[in-house]
Amino acid sequence: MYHKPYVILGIVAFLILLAMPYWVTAGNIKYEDIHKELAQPKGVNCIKGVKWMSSYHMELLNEWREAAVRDGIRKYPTDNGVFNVSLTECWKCHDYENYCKKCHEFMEVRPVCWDCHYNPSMEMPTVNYLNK
Amino acid sequence: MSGVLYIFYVLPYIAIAIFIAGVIYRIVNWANSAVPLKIPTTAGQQPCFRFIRRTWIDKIDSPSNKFWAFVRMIFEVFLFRSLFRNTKYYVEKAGKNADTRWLWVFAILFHYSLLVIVIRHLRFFTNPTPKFVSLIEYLDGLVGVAIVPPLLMTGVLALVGLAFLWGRRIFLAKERCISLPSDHLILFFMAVILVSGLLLRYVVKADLSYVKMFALSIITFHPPSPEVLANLHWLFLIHFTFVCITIAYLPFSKVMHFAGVWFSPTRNMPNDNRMRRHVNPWDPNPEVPILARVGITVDGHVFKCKKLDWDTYYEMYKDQLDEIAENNYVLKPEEL
Amino acid sequence: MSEVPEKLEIKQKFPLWKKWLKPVTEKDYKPGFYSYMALPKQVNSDFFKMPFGDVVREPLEKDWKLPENWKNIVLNEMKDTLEKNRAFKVFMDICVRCGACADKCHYYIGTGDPKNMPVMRAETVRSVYRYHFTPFGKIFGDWAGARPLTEEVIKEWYYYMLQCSLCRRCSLFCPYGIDTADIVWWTRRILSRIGINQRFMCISIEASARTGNHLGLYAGGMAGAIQQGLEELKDITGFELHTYINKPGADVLFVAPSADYFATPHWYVMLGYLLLFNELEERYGITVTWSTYASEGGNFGTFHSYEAAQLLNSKIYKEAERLGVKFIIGGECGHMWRDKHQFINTMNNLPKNEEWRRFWEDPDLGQISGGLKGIRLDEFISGEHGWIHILEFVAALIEHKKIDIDKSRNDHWKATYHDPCNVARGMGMLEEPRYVLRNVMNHFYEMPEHTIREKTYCCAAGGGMLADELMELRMRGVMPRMMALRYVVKKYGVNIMLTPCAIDKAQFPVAVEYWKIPVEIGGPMEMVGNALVLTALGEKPEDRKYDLRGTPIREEE
Repeated sequence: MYHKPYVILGIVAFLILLAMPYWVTAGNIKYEDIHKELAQPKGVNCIKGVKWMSSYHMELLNEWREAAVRDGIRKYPTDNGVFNVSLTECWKCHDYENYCKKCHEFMEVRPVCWDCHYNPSMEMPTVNYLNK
Repeated sequence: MSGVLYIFYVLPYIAIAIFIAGVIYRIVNWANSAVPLKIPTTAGQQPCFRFIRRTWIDKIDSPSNKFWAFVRMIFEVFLFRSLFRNTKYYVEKAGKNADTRWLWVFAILFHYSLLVIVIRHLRFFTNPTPKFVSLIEYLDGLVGVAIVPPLLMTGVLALVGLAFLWGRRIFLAKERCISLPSDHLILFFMAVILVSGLLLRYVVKADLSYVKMFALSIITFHPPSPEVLANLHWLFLIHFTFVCITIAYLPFSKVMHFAGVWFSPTRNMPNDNRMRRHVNPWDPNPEVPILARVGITVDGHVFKCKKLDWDTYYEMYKDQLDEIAENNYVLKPEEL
Repeated sequence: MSEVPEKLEIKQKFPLWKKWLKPVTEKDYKPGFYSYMALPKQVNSDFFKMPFGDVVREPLEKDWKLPENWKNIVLNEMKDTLEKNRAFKVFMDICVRCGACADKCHYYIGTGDPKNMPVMRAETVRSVYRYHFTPFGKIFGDWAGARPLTEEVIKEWYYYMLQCSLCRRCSLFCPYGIDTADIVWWTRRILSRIGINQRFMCISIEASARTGNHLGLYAGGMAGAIQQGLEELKDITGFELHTYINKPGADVLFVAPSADYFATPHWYVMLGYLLLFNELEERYGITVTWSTYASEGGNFGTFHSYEAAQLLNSKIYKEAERLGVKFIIGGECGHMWRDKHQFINTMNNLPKNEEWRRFWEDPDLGQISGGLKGIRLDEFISGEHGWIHILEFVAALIEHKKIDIDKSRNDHWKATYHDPCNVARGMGMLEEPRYVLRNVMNHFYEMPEHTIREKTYCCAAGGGMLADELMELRMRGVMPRMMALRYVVKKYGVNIMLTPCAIDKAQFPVAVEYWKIPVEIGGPMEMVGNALVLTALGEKPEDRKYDLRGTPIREEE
């Protein structure tokens, strides 16, 4: 093999780049079964089916926002009953800290909701959600 | 049933193993070949007398030492320096050349979008997720923040880049002609991955908590529970499978240009031929030219030339050379 | 010479890959585009013996009389090339066929033949590489763009490898630096192993291997030619000038392409050299000698194979050592400077004489003459190479005010400068000739920016393409350069194109005649010779009445 030092350096650089997930976290990757750690919801039925809700809740909330703010619609009938169009409706069953926030943090999702809205874990609504 | 799903858990390991082994094999394979000559393509003013002006771009394009050659490589790899020079020739306009940087623009767009996309995907593979990943995602989504979830521009730009790069291979006669099936294949893989990824984010949504648990199980070598596998979305599985296939295919494909470009002697060698002698590893001591020393052996026959050294030469043209010597090696206009 | 039609048409058809994988064979060869093959007297001579060169081969005949075992030989040679040359291997593997190189090739622009796109030229080799050296190619065959090696493929290689002038313009634009010249050069080497050689380049290679120069000039002939130059200079300047040849103990060895001894307009450049050397000797006592043994700067071996190149350029360092010179000045030539800049000190051992060693310890021209103190060659050259280009040398002399120049003597010329491809892209000498020209003449204009400097267009006759049978290819390939030239001729009234390249000087006079552009061709050293005031010999600026072409400098009153 010619130019051995350069080639080895190149291969090492390549491997280091591949191992990115490990060194950006300083080797600190925790496997977590998040579903076991989330607080169990209190109610029986969610607004729609559980499976649908877990994938599409952000769309529902988005729909709710427009319905409530633009059209003044405050009631939302589904197969599972009639629900208030409000975030507090969620918190009736779900614990914000141990359910919503926990999972969002696990997923590294930062909803824009709290730019304007109050949530149970904050003193004041903030406009800059990057600062928590 | 759930047992079968473990295929998806094994798949990435196989793909990555093929990828790593393949890439290293290719790199070592290239490194095993000798570099007989120092042949940089000099794309700027050479190192020269100090009074000749050399701009910094000359120093990069015609590097005078290893450091500048390294800078040239960095420019080549990260900014596509050579593609940036691209021109188009117009036969019909009396041979007018014009800068055409479209290929450069879309190539840059495509490659960097993919890079950001890969970095963004770190949020699935790390727990807790580092700050910079969230920052990149936040910046990526700034333009499309009005949409829920925020529209990440790199996803769209990568698709636009891909459409351009594939479109030119389909619609332009010249590019269609030079394209091989493998050129379309890799673009097809990229298209499937990009489209399925975009669909997953914006249209056909999956329960991402399971996706992340699955990703973490891969990266931490912690086999996932059957529940996690059972809850993976079908579209995600398509996305994931194609990613694995692509990763495994990379070492055999033209995508190896990412490693090969570092081995390109026209780019990675400094233009310092006149400062430092380059030694040819298979001809390190060329006192006599190969053809006159050992000749070339083909199919068992040796073809060797006669050596024209000074003595042979002198013997051959003795009279004429002696005449020159008699005149004291001086040439003067003849007396008329 | 093959006839070139008055009107050239470019008809383009772009076949899909399956179609172009079918090789172009002797049946499709077009006159004006294929080269003759070398005769036994060229490739089976004592001084240049190539494998299986003892057979007369006709490109247009079906039977190419390949050696029995040709397939094995080619595949073995290909394997050997892949191991011996990393560039070849990497370039086989990493092309993504983006097409950035396509319309950069002057032959593609001029002929419109899709296989003349650099990417396709290389693809004709790559397809065979894929079939025989990669697993995918073997399994998927033409679906992987692979095809087996057949006699037809060899014919296609011969056709297209010999429609490339090794100008490396494509390598400049390739995002991975893929150098088609390198692929072509090494493929020609593979072809030479089964007895396939181009006649034009082999005539010169053989002559140079036997006599020391491409023209096959014997020592006496060369000396006579230079002597004739001195006589002409006596008529022009009125001075009795002299020069040295084969002189042991000279300070400097001068090596020029052999065309300079005879051909026009190369001739005027040689007169320029002679004037400069006389002035330098008279003023500074620096002696420059020619050599009949190392009488060739050019190296047609660089069109053929590594070994042939080495065979030809091996003489020069040997001669430098024998004569005991301190360094070497090289004349105006294009591919010569690819060879002399990038190849020669790898292909040969350096001179071991004492003078050389001592000079390069502190390479200040002050060592030779106190008057030249301050011109330091180690700013970019070392004793591991020892060559300086005549234009670099002149640029330094002008900058340090060591020679006297009368610019007005060139006022009857309006010049433009053509960068020879190898000087631009194989060496990087872009600014020095311009520096010299701006200092020796008042009217100097650049051609459009995309056609000069590192982006320069080839004259379409380099790399062995100067053969007469390739006339149509040459006239088509030179089209981009001619269009650029026509532009400056119309815009500025340029009447001379200067180029420090012997092949350019041979090709352009034919080309400008064909393309009907009223312009002369010359070399920068001719302009230097015109403007150089021989102060040391007692010449005054206004003394010179004629330029080196013998035309009056100033209009008669």
